[in-house]
Formats: sequence, structure tokens, C-alpha cells
Amino acid sequence: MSAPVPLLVEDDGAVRHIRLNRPEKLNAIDPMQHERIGRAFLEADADPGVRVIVLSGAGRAFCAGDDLGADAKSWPARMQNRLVDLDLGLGPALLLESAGWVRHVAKPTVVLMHGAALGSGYDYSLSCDFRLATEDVNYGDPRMHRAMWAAEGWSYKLVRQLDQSAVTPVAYLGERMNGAKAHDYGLVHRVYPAGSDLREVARPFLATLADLDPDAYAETKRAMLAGLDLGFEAALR
Amino acid sequence: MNESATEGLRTELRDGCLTVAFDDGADNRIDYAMLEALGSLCRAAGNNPAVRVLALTGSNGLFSAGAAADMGSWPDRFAHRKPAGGHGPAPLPEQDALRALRALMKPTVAILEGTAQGLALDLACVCDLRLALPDARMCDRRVATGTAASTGIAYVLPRLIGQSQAMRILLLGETLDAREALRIRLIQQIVATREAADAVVANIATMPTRAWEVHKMQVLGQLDLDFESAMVHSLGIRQTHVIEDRIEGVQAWRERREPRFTGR
Repeated sequence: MSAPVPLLVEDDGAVRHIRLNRPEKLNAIDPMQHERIGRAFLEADADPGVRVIVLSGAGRAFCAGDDLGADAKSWPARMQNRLVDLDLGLGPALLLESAGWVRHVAKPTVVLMHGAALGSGYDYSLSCDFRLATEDVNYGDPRMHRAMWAAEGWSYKLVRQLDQSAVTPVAYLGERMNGAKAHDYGLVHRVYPAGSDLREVARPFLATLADLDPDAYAETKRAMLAGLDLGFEAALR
Repeated sequence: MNESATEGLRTELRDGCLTVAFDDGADNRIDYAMLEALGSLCRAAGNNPAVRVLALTGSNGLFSAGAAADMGSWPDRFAHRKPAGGHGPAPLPEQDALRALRALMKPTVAILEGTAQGLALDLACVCDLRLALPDARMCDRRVATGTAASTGIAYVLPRLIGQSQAMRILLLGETLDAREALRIRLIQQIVATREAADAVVANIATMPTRAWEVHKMQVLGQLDLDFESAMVHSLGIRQTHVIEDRIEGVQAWRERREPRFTGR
């Protein structure tokens, strides 16, 4: 049997499913996986047959975070000249970059979160347009409880997705959210019963997104993201 | 730093928690001397490793009714900007205290009870966490009584709870009880008793303070940045700040035990 593929890419009609596939590690992400995720989103965005891009995880959980046991010094050749803190490795820098790619693709992006959605999994979720979760998901950023670095873009994204007041429990206190709590914050858009196969139950939602006019969606999304950084008059131009 | 000499302000440093209490024996109104003392305390706390959290509280069952009718003598520090003529004094001392409290990157918690009004609510709003006892009442009556709220709260509040609810508080001057304040997230938690509030603060004092600081630096520092600049800001912070507790955090995770953080 050949080695398992760490990232599965499958199409269901016009829906491109990008699926983390290291279930034995609860889909913990190592540096090269960041690179694969980012590339998979860029490829899906460029593929004319794809209307919706979905990130999910195989097995018991979406993603438990970064793989702390990974070889932090393996990284893509294109970045071999990057100077980084060798103690932390290149993982954080790669996450920062690939989460930026995910954020800026033109097509609708959806993350499906079950089991655990922690650390860098949580960070990727903030880069997607829509977050769908099971009721019993363990969602949030526990890095604070380990005094670990979290400097990959969540700080810009989170405070624009919800009120600054909610940033304190989520980011500073490292609160673990379940589906209802994350929905209450407005962070998760749809909550499904525990144990649901999210790819199945989310089908109607994904179909709705696939039916939207791609140009109208892309232009509105672009204007919204750009508008976050502009003054009112500049945003009208 | 265990006792402050400023009238109306009581401070205590114990087990990593610096408690700053408004306490004038009446309705805890805030004057210039108290604002100046609060600003100094915040700046000193940032450099004092013994401080792991700052709690801003009231006393005698009340947070504070806001600015004093008589603010006292204009602070010497702002002598060169003392207004002349018919205008009232500019809110420079108010802004400066607010700025100092907001710039303290360590955890800051306001414990609201009884009345929390106007300038006092401004100060609570630049804290990271607002806890309220069930009897807390929050309001800002400045516009309703003909004074502008120009302390900086007009920037802070819409970001904290959204523009829609900020309009209601700052412009309409509605009074919110603890439940309504929780609903619109003006506060993040209702605590049954003062002891329960103290327990929340004590727990925060055991957290990795430096990690809190680098999280907070990013959130506040990136409020006004565009996305790309924010990414550079995060990278810069990562390269220029050390979190010693990270070693203990990872070690404890590997050994499956609770970490013991120093705050460094």
C-alpha cells in the first residue's frame, strides 16, 4: 500500500473538497501541510469548474492545531533562504502566508468543523467566508494556555468578525467554544447535531453557494475585504 | 506600591493582582488627582514583574458615578495646555488616564457593581474584561446633560460592542442593567458576588502574562491597520518579544500536567 495522502482533494460536482487526512494525528498540521493547504486553495480558485471551496478534516476531528512533534525545520524549497527562529521553525510563517491565500481567494470558502478545531485549525477557519460546525465541536485557540506564540493573522481577522468585547474570552482567555457558543458570538453560521457528517448535512448550504453568480460574489467579497481597510469615501471608488 | 497616597483611590498588590479601587466614602467620583494617580499606576504596573493583572473596582457597593463636579486643580503636567476663555477645560487628564490604562498590555479587569457611569464607564471600557455584579447599572448621561463625551470613548465603544449599540449608550444615555449589558456584550460576564469576581481575577493572575501581552499588542495594534500591514506587525512582534513561559507551557503539555507560569 502506498503512503497515505496527507491532503485529499475531491470534487463533488462544482464543490471542491480539500480534506486534511492525518486522522491518526487528529489532522495536526506540520509545515509542509500549510504549504499544501495554501496551494490547494489557489489551484481551486484558478479551476473554472470549481464554484465553492470547502476545507474539512477526515476522521474524528477537523484539526487539533499545529503538530508540535513535527520536524519544524523541513520547509518548501522556495523558502529556503528565509531566516526564521529555528526554535519555532517555519510553521508559523507558512501558516501566516497560506492563511492569507485562503482569505483572498475569490470563490466562496467554507470550513466544516467537527471534533476539534483548535490552534492553526481555528486560524484557518477565520480565513474562510463561512464556518459550519457540529454542536459538540471543541473550537478555539488554546495556545494561550500553553504560553505559545499565536501571531499568524487571527488578531486582524477575529476582531473584524466579532466585537472586540468578545475577543477577550476567545483570544485572551482561550475559551473553548462549542457550536452554540460560537454561533452566539456570530462566528459560526450553521450548527448541526453532534455526530453529523458535515459534508452530507451541509450539502444544501454548499449547493446554495454554488448557484450564486461567481462574478457578483467575487466582486462583493473583494469589496468587503478591501472595505475593511478603507475610509468610506475611498471604499466607494 | 501597596498603599497609594491619593485620596479617593485605594490600591493593593497581592498575589500578582494589583487592585485599584475608587473609594471616596461616597459615590466614588473621579477627579484630576485620581486620574493622574491611575495613569502613573498603570505605567508602573507595565514594568513591574510582580503585577500579573490589574483589577479596577469600586467600593461600598458602587463602582463610580463618573467625573467629579469639582475636578480639583488642573494637573501641572498639562499647564501649557490649560484652556483660556469661556471654554471648559479640555479632557486632557481624562484622555491621558484612559490612554495609560489601555496601553497597559497586561490583563486588565473592571469589576462593576452599583453605579458605573460616564468617565468611570469609559475607564472600564478600555479594560480587557468587564465583570458585573447583578446589581450593576451602566450609563453615560453626558450628552443627555449637555456635555460631549470626548475622552476617547467614541473610538473605543463602537469597536467594543458595534456602532449600533454604542449609539444607544453614548447618544441616548440609556441605563443598562447587568443582563442587558451582557446581552449586548458591554460586559462579558455576570458574577454573583464580589468573591466570585475576585476568583476570576486570581485565575487570570496565574496565566502566562507575556503571552497575554503579545496577543493584546496584536489585537489593539491592528485595529487601525490594513491586512498586509497587520501581518507585518504580527511578524515584527514575533521576532522582537520573548515568552519564557512557552518552555514551561510545552513541557507541561508533554507531561500532561497543569503548567506553572511565572508571567515572564
